[in-house]
Amino acid sequence: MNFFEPFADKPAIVVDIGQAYTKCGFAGEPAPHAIIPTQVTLNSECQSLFTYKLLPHGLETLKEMLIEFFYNIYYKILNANSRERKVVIVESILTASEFRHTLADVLFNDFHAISVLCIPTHLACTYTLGISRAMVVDFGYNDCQLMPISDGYSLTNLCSFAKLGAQHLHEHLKALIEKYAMVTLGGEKVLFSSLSSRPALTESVLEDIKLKCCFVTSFDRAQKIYQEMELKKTDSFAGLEFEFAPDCDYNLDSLIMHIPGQVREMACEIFFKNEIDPDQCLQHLILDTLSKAPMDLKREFASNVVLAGGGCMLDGLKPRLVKEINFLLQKCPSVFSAQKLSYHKSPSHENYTAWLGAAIFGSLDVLDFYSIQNSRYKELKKLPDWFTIEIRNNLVQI
Amino acid sequence: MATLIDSNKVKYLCSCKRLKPLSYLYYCKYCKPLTLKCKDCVIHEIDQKFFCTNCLDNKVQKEVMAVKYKCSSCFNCPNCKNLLLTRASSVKVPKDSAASNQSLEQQSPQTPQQPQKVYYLICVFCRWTTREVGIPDVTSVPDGWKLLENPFSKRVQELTEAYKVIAAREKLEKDRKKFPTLKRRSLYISGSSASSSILHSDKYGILAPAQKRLAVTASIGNQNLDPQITIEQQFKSLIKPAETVDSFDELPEDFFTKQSNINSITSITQRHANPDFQPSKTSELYPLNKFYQSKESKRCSGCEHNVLKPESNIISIKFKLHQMAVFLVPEVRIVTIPEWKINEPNEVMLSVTNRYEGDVNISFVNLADDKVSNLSNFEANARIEFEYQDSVIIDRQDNSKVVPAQLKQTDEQTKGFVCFRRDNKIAVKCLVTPMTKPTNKEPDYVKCIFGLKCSINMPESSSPQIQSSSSGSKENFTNSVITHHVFVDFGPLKLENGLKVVPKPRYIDDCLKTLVK
Amino acid sequence: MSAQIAQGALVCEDRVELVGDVTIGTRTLIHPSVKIIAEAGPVIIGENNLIEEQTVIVNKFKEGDDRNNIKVMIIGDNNVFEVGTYSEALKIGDNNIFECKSKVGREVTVSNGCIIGAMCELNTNEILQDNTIITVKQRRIANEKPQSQLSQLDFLSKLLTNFQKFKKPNTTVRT
Repeated sequence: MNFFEPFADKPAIVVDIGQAYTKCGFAGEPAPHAIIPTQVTLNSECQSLFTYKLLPHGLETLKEMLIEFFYNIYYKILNANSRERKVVIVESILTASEFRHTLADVLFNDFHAISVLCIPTHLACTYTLGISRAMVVDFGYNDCQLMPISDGYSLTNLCSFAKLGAQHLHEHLKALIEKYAMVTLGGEKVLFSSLSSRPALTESVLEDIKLKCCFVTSFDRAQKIYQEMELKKTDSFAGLEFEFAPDCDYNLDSLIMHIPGQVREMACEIFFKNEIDPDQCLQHLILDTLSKAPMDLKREFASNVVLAGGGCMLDGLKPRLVKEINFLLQKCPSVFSAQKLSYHKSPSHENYTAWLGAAIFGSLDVLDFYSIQNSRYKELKKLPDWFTIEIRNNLVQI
Repeated sequence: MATLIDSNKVKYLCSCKRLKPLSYLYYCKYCKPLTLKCKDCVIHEIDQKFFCTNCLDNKVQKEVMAVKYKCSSCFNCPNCKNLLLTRASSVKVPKDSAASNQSLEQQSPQTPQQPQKVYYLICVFCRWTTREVGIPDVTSVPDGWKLLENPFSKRVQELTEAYKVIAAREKLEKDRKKFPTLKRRSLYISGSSASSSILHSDKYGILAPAQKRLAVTASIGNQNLDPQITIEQQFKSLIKPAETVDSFDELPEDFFTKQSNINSITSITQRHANPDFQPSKTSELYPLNKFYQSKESKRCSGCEHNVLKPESNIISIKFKLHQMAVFLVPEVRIVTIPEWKINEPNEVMLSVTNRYEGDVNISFVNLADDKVSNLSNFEANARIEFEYQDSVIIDRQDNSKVVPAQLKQTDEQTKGFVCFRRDNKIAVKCLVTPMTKPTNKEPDYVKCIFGLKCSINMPESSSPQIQSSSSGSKENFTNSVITHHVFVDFGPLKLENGLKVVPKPRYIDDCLKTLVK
Repeated sequence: MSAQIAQGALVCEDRVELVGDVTIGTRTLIHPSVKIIAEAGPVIIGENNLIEEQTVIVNKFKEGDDRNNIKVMIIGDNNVFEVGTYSEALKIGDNNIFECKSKVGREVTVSNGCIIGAMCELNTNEILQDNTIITVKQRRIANEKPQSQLSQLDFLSKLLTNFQKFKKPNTTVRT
């Protein structure tokens, strides 16, 4: 059936540039070829793509970084000739337009891609399920984004996001470690933060600690902890009667760091409890967005919640989130009539759900209709935006 | 060697206005004048021959696609990503099971045992073995360890198939809109006769692709193109809809009380190394198949001539054609770094090495800073001066004889400008003046630009047309003169944090002594 | 106090420094240019150990230690110290492998079957679990102890006798 697979020989390249990790692979495959950090080594310095804003000559540096980055993806990882491939890019709707334009410039002018399609993360996720209406929650590195999708359109007016990403979790974890973690030094346990020369808690160390030691505690346990804290009128986790999970030892350079149970259990609490702004937590965010949805779509969104993004692979996050939402629904039934929401399980690991959706879409015949061809790009000299429409070959911003 | 050339201290200006170390540059001899091309402005091309870097098994693109670029017999360690080696060991197995069945009665404690060779994989770096995670030993090495299938691939396949049908229909509808003058209405007469009505109306074969697609759509989806049936309905009939759940599995109760062993949890790189499975426990690790790789050739972006072409034989690491700039452009390196004095000339030594197959005539040119420094964000803040501006010859690299370091007659006339000469390398003196910025602030770094004018004799056979006309006479050389812009970064102005003054090396002193004699 | 070398132990003469009260068990092989220094107490090395070139095993005082408080360094059996190992560990069990250029501090207790990877430095205050494997970035627990190096030891002891002079054993029974 060569007819049905017109690019069976040269499937499109699908790249999902995440804030922390980039997923890349071929269209039509069930999993990405590789998941790599979104970093490039430029002038013998390894840096993340998204740090370009902090650098002098930001956009020019970004272009150089993207060239290096895509050179790696095309020629070192995927072994594909850029001139013979279509490209599907999964992008966040919050991507800066300067980033998009530079990306398009690099792909079309430096790599001579046949065509480029930018597909929003949330929309891509729905293709992995075969549903057309859904509420997609994407747990990213920088933030957590919610977007209801209806019939192939992202309802951007209902989009909401909170600064609740892995980055913030890492920051919180660092603060907790500096407050509670102990090290053994010369037979004595001392506070980690009291050491004069202590190894730096870099992002990668924190990520490793998060992965190996931390988890999201269950709803019941969290309730007990908060009740006790309220009784004792304290905001410190030390000195509680509650029995936290056992401590664990982590090897950090030449130190052994004892990470107490309260750090392991409470680090991830930032997702569910925010002292300063109670609305900035996951369960509120999801229900808020739902309540704002149009009447006729509300029910459908509520019964099609899709959880995606690497963030929700944290141990215990999903059951906790469900319990928190159910608890809220019971507490204030006026917000929403349903007792429960229904969640989808996509046929992928969460961290590449969006990639998979784009890979499915990229293997379809209609890819050409939705992508921008190289010749068209050269006419327009820019990539149409989400909010631009084309009127008689002129792009208009709405 | 790689680290020496690969350093970012001395950079050259590429024809695309980028600054690159010499090791990243190529030259195109067909472009006139001779131009430098860097790795970001050449066209890369993947060879269609793929091979496994370990077993050198080679395949063409289609075959590689079928196995998802994974070699079936070579593996990397899932623990540390190094190569896994196959180890043989012998186990005693009861002699042939059929034979033992017959002699069941006679089975004594000393059942005849036959040694059998079994194989397992071991990482010699971190000592991970397949036995550690309970992967059974295999009896034959090729294809011994199965390629694990993505657990979701069936569902993904179903989804893709269903979407393809929908996509084909959508495409058909769009094609139809492209030809509005044709009797579109005829398509809507009735679903079953739709295809036939197109056939009638299409006298000129203009709708041929649409027809084909229509036919296939109908046959695959077993659906006629009744516009009454919406795309959504059609899709639902093709695939079983995704199921939803009300809750997710809670963490096990003992998770909160049991002492956890952090060594049994995989790191993020170990998880990402295997995107299909992403094992979260070390006991779930599985050998990673090695990926097929391919050689890469490079073309000039201007004239599409090859600048780098590897030999097609996968075992060979040689090149059919390599026009790397290292072999044409003299390489400049920093020899000494003095204690910088601001706004004063500091004496610095640079060495120049010629790797071209002939002698090179070079001269140093002081460049007007503002002209070039706007390029490539290189903010030159020091003036470099060469006392001697005439040309200096650097000998070609001659491996047959080793010349002792000695200055030539002509070098003595340069009043110590050329202070060292051996084989294809010379060292020259120059004066670098770090300047204060207009804002009267001291600069952090010492950077300067100069021009390196090279004149070399190149064989005339530079373009194929000329080659054929001049009947390939090899003596026909042309002299080409190119000025390369060289950007030198001497490092921080203040030598701190372990940075030291780099003094004049002994061999230069020795060389100068011979001059005095 | 001179070193006590048990019958059957092979200690090369070439540039081997045994300082202080060093006891070497039978069938232990010590290559040339090895330093074993017993400064803060005796060093007792067990049987079948393979100690390769440029290994340094030191029992020394740390800064601020009480000089009268003598501590004994005990190294068990069947250990391999590869080229350039530096060890101050007071207690080393059996069947351990110290890969090239690894460094083990004084406060580490190495139990049995551990592998300290090449170029790894271990200065923590801990007792390693049995069969721990330490590489530069990670550590894990293996299911079984590393393969025995006895055949290598036999091979070397046959080979080295042709090329090296050995110190004479001076004790017959291991104490």
